[in-house]
Amino acid sequence: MKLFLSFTRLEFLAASMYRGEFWLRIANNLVVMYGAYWLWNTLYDRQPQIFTISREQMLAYGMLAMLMDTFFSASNHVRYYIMGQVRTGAIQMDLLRPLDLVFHLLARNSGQMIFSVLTQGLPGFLAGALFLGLRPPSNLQDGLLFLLSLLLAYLVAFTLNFLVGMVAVYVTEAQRISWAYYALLRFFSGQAVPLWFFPPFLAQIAYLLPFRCIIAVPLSIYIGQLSFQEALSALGLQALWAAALLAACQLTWYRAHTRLTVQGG
Amino acid sequence: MDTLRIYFKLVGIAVKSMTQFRLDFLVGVIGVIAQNGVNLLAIGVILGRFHDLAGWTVWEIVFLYGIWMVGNSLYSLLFLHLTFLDEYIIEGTFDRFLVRPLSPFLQLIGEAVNMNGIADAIFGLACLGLSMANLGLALNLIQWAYMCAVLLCAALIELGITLFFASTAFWTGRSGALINTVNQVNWNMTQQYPLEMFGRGFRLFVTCFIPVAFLNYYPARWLLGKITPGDPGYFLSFLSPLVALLLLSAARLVWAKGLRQYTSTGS
Repeated sequence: MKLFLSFTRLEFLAASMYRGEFWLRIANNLVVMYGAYWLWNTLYDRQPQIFTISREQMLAYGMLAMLMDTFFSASNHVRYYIMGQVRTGAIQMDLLRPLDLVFHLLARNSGQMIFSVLTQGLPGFLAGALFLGLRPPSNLQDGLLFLLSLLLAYLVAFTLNFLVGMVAVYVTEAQRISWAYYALLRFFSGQAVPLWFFPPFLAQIAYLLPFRCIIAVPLSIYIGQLSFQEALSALGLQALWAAALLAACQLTWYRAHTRLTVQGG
Repeated sequence: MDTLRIYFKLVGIAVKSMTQFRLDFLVGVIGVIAQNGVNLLAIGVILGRFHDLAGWTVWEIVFLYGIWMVGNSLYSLLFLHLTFLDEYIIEGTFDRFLVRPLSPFLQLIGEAVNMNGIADAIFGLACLGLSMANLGLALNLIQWAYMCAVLLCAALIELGITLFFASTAFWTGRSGALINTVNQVNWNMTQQYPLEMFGRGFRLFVTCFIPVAFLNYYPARWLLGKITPGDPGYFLSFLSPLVALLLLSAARLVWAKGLRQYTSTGS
């Protein structure tokens, strides 16, 4: 655990090197939240009866879905790290380290993640609350369950990114896979459009995929759409996915040892 | 003329180095289809519930998306790597452009091609074709000519914006976040949503400050006959070429100024 935390700390410090980006990222978050604000407001004006939830709930969902994406994108570093290591051949260093790669990257990425939450998530949330009428969860219980759910969502996001990164071991230049992954995530996580708008066929696919654990599950808890019982089973689902995906990460990394082509090595 | 010859030679080399990875190209094509298919699906789901967005129906939005996409494909085929100018600078690889007897800009743009742009173009043209067929859109000769010009201008506007912001890396050493912000506006909003949906402030922003509205929205509005002479803002439909020209000149100035005071990161 001490080792884990020391990596986390290092990566946190590395992320805070570029102060200039801080304001830009906040601006960035405000822009996307503003977009979601207008989109859902306009649609709510048009046909409020289509929504089964209040305007405040819908706006909170729409804006937070955008905001969560910007700080969850910290887990993209994992993908880029693995891809970069494969491209430059430096992946051999990861083979040599007396450390489990999944553990190593999870530790480092947690640092980036904490940094993103503090410098993007919180300011974005405050700005949303100040300028765009973003409301906190209606009760403390939902708030706490949401935080727990967020943690599990992060684990799912991390493991998925790790697995997509590992594709690089097979195709070397996996930029486009990474974009396709991002697009699928945006859609099936319920970020671009909440899952309850999906036609049955698409909804079914979304329910079978792990992506909804990243955005839809935590936010349904946040806006108070789930009862306590439902929220608990949703958390259980997230935990199951996280555990299964972590196991998959270990397995892929282990198997990759035999498949790895070290460029220029 | 010599410059052009050298540019095409450089691009030829870049293409050759890309074709090393055949499988990657195939994977890229699948990636393009997944990426854009899902974007359109998201719009489709919303439109399935709401019928239209600010008066734009499904196929009109596909048309809007298609214009953006074809223009963007050209840009991403030839210029996408300019986004990573800051990495060239940080890693010190930019310095090698400076010691060769050829314009650094030419060397930079000739450095790489992004073959996925071809897949983008095919997908974008399919969007345009399908939407025009479904809308029964009959364009006259002038409109056809203007549409082709707009596709080219869209690529140039994106080049101008990227070059402008990427060049700030000469001063700051890092421009990734800045370009990312601009791309968010570009990709997540104006690419697929008609601007009527957003507030006045935002429309002003994408018209005057980061003019991505000229990539697709203003010209598409005219081509689809959604605006008639006399409507406010009618003239905006025809400004895309002018905007492209202005942006490129501005970007060129920033680039030249940045290059003049550039000092290597020394790594």
